Amino acid sequence: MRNRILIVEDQPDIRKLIWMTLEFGDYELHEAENGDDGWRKAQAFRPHVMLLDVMMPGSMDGLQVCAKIKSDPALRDIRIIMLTARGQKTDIEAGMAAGADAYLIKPFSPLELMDRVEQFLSAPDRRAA
Amino acid sequence: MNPQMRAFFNTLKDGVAVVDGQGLVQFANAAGGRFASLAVGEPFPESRVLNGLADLVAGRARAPLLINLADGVAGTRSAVLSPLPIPGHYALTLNAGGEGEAFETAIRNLFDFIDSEVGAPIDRFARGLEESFEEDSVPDSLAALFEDAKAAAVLLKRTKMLAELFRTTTLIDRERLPLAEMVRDVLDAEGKLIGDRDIQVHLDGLDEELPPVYGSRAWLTRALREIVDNALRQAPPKSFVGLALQCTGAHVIVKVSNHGHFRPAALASLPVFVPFHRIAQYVKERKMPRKALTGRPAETPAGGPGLGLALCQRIVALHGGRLQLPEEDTDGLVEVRLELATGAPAVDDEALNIEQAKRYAQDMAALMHRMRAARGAAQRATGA
Repeated sequence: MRNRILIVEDQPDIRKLIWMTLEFGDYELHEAENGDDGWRKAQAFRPHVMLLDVMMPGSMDGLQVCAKIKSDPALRDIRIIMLTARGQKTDIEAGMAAGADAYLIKPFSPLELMDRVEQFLSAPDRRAA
Repeated sequence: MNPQMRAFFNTLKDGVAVVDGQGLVQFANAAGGRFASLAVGEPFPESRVLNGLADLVAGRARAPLLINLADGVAGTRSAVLSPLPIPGHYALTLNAGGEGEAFETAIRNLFDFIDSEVGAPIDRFARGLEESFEEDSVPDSLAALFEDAKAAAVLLKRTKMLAELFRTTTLIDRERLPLAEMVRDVLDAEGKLIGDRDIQVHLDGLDEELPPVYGSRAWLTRALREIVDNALRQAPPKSFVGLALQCTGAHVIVKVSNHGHFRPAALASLPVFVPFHRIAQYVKERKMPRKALTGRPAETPAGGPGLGLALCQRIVALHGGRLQLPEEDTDGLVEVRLELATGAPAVDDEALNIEQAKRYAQDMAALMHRMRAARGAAQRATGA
């Protein structure tokens, strides 16, 4: 069974780039374009890794989605990589406080993104979500 | 191009050029000629524009295509290429970003000057006035002068406050706003006034989970403080002021209420959102009693630490929100509502997208190599 990855990003171009990057790996990919959609799809698909943009329009941003996932016993094992705009140091602090496992600063290196994803998926303590 | 259209394009500050699919200039307005030496029939003299045009023509890029020229054609920061209704022709807008930046720098320099050079004398002047005269000890012959000096000191203090804000933070930002924390910060800052007037503050909704709101924390905290300060000053002594956070639809609302008014009775007939620097003028024009300007702090429109409701309204509006002062209800409760849209502002950051695409292109070879290696390993494993 392939590992599932959920991309939650409101900017279509960035979402597409992440998708294209992750297509280099053998993953089952899903995408969401805002926090509310991301939360619904996290419950529906139970991804192993989630890439979550911090700033998104709608009633939930990335930080709130992250906090909700990490406080839900059924979902808390999802590894979350936050995507944050450069210079938003407070976003990084808030993301880690909300339970994020890692963060990448935009524009991020796709190689680094792949490394992070693979690192999480191959970690010995990884449990199926 | 007909003469009317040519005249119209020449009134624009941005440079506009029309190029064909090969990048040959067909038309350039006056501003375009200032940015670059453009000659009709010659190629546009900037390779990044020609490359972008080639991408657009070949369908590799989408219109409108933003091209970063920050270190390129003189005076321009970016160019935007869009197809025209005339087949095979493209409009090129040369953005005069340099002008905007120069304006911002000039404003920043002005406020730096006010803050660093004029700030200290203003503070000394204002403190000296307060310490030198008790209200009742001013001789009649000096009363008018004293009142003018006090009003001037208040205006100068506010100008300095504006300078500090402008100097230290951008007017519009995209910070995530911790509204409950901001409310508590405001109440801490107003602690003395709350104590002096023996006001009880009722808080509601501060612990509830609200949708995220984005903006400039420094400026919106400042605006909120102004509203709360107003409510505290105009509420009857020993009464209460309510502060509530709630969400309705796509807005988070900060409600500030009191059993009183938000303005001194003497100024009740004036429009609410009068800029602070024009209060005195309004009073003079409308022959309001001078006392309305110089009374006790709780009755003084020019008093307090604030920037004025007019400025608050502007700040809130710049963040896509609204500041409303509804009519007094039947219980005498007056409520100011500060509404801010929820969610992060939609961003179409073309520059970031381009930079991200470049990073992707840089890493693509390594990613492909990695993929081939993984496939090879999988095939070997299957073969074994």
